[in-house]
Amino acid sequence: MKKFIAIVGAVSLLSACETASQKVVTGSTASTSSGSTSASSSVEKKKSLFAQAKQTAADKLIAVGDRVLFDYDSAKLDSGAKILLDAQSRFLRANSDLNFIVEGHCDERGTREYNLALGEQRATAVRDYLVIQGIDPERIKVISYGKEKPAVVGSNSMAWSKNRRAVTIID
Amino acid sequence: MVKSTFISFSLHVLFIIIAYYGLPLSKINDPIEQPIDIVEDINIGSQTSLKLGNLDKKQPSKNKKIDSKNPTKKNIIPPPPPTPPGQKIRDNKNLELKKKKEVEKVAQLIKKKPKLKIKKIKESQPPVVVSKPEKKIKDQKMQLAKGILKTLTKSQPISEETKKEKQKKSNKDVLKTIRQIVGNSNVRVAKTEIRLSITDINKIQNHVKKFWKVSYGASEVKMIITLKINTNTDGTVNSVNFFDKSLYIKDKFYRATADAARRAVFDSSPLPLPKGKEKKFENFLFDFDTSFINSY
Amino acid sequence: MQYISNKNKILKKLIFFILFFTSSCFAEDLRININSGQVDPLPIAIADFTGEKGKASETGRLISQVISNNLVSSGQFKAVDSAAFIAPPTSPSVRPNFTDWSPLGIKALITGSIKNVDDQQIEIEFRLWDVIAETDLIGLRLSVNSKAWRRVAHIISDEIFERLSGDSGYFDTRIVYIAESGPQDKRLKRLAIMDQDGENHQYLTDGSFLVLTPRFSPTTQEITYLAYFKNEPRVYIFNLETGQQELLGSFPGMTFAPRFSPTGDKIIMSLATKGVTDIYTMNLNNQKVTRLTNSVSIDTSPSFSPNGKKVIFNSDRGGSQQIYIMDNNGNNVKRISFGKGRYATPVWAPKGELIAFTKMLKNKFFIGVMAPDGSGERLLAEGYLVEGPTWAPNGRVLMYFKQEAPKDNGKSSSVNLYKIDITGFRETRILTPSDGSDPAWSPLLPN
Repeated sequence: MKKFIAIVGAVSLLSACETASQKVVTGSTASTSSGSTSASSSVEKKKSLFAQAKQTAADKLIAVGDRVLFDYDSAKLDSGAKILLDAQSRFLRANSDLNFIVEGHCDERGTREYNLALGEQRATAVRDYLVIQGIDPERIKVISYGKEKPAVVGSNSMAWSKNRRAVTIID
Repeated sequence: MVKSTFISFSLHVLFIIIAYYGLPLSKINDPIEQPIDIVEDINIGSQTSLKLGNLDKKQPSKNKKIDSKNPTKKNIIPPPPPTPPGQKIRDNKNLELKKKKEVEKVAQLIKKKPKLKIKKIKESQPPVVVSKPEKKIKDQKMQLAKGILKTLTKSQPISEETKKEKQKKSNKDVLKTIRQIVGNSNVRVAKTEIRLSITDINKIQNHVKKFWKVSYGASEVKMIITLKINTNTDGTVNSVNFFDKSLYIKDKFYRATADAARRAVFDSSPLPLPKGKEKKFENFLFDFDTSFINSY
Repeated sequence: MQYISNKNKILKKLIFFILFFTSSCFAEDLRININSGQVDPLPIAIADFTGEKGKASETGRLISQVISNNLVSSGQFKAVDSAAFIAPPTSPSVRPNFTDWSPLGIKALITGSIKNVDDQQIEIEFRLWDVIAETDLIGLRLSVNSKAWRRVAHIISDEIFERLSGDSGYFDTRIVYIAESGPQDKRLKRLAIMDQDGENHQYLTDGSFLVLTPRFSPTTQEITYLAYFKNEPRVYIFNLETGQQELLGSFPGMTFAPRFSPTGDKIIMSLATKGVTDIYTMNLNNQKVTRLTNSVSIDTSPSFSPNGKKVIFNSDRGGSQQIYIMDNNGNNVKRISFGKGRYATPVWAPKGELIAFTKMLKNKFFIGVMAPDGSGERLLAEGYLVEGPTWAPNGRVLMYFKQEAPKDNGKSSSVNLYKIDITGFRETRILTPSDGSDPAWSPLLPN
């Protein structure tokens, strides 16, 4: 009847993935600290090599422009966002071996659950635009973090505007 | 002739009505025996077992055993009938239990708040009329004006509204009182009777109000709580009995609020009875109305 | 003329007689109406529970302390400092000397005792006395494992609360919440549980994945919540008895904002997919999924009415986030919030007479209550961010979380749990080991 999942078992793998992706999300520190996953086994080594390759691509994506910003309580792409996404779609096409995740985020001036929905709307808006530009929808997943992962911490409109964002990262 | 038969007919009707309505009224004065202690003792046993029963019923079949995270098991067992407390309680004293250390502290406290103990004094004391103004009243009034329900935005308009409503209420109340004194007819009370003025009644009302502390749960009590009061001529309260005994047992909100009302009456002893009219208060009723909580 | 006046005289006499008769009737039935009083905290005294042979015991002192903290925190009671007591604690089977207590302004007195039955079991007895009417109001004996003294203290608190206020208590309950730590942009969030007063704190997840919005089942020892396990945000059920976590159904997108139905056999939640968020229910017995809303807007934060017939939720279908009500099949959708600002997170009170909500207006957040038709709005708490009210099982207290404004130097601002009684006067912080958010109150625990 019900599908039981043993969550704790997969914890270590997941946390490794998460830290990697978080670095891309924030985009503030370009330097990789992949050395931290000090590899002892060959499997780990391969993994870190792969991570390094991914990191290079991620750096390139940031250079192209990995994020678009939104107005308060809005998931509408403005013209500036569309220009950026045009460039992003060229990068996605050029890296056809990679899959992507669009993360939707909100500022903290909303309730948690509503913001989760709003973040999903924002990420979907970006994904839909990229698909119209000819990107295979299978290659782009969306995820919403609502107000859980601010890019900038602060209680001013500047910080909030930077947090109302959709960020494209490599899956 | 027609006129006189009409008059006599209406008089007959009047008599019948009086006879009819007079009966239940006189019934009120039959003292309903209310040994409070016994009522509550019965409750203790039944309440506990009831609680267990309810909980068992509530447990859905899906639900397994008690939370295993909590390492301890809990069973409420119905207590055996508690040792019956002595019937004559007021003169029961355990003097040896007093701590000498605290006497000073207590003495101070007594000074602050007049001790309103129930004493069985029959005649010697002169009737107490004046109610002493207390410092506390000011705070309580402020609390009343604010209303018990706080709201961050509309506190001002609400408190104004409350005041108006209260004004209206007290007006209504005065009318009610007049009606109660005069009876339901539009005619004046016979001159031979002791007449109570509205001021007489108000004085008592305002006095008792100060002592009535209710919890917010009293807003669930949708009816008036009637207490039967017996006083001495000096205004000291001899006894307080619940008028609706069955509701007291049945309804937990009624029970809690009626207890608070009973405390209020004992706490407000001696009552400021009007001079020369003390006899009227030998046996009378207090109607405690909780609707003020909702009108805030 | 003579004849008539004669008749009049007789009539007058008759009327006089009647009036005399009736007034004497009423005179015997003097009624005085008392139509106002104070909703003030009741001064109570809680004597230390006596131990073996009437001696003071450490556990007895702790028990009376827990009871005292509980009752005072409700805002309805004022505990008189035990240092002022004249009489030493007595056994509950002994009628106290009320004149020892009434001068202190005490209206109700609690006495109790503890007895060791064997190595494991103890017997705790208590009695509640009305100091003014000089009578006992309730007495109970509880037989428990000696380690469970704290829970007994909560059960006793509930009994006393109920006897003195009429309302059922809420002290023998637990709070599940999200324990937060670390900087704001890399927050570690863990599912945690504790007693209503903050004791017996325990973490349920290790923080390796993000968890949000836990809610208690009204009938079983289960919690439903949102977990980002494998970076897929989905609704899970956490069984407190087995520690097992269970994914709820398989949906083509993010499921979130879960809440149990009043009978505990359904979960109502939101599903966000393709930019649209609608409300669904899932029957836990047969896994049947029912869609309740079908709009292109954001419909989320659903909550059932206590009778299960209605659902309230927030939606931006009208342009801004507002509270709506609908039947439990999705029909008859009506907007109920019409005040200024945005309204969110509606939660129906256990008795059904109120709805608690979060309101956003002019850069401030508020916690408020209103009637289910949207009337009688009262705002109880405010802050830079206050959010997510949850009801105590008796509907007299709300818990929520409050975030201080973050400092612009990037340092984390603190997030804490608070509770307030619905009269709105007493806001108190719940102490937690670290920051906390998303509290959810359990029902009264089964015995």
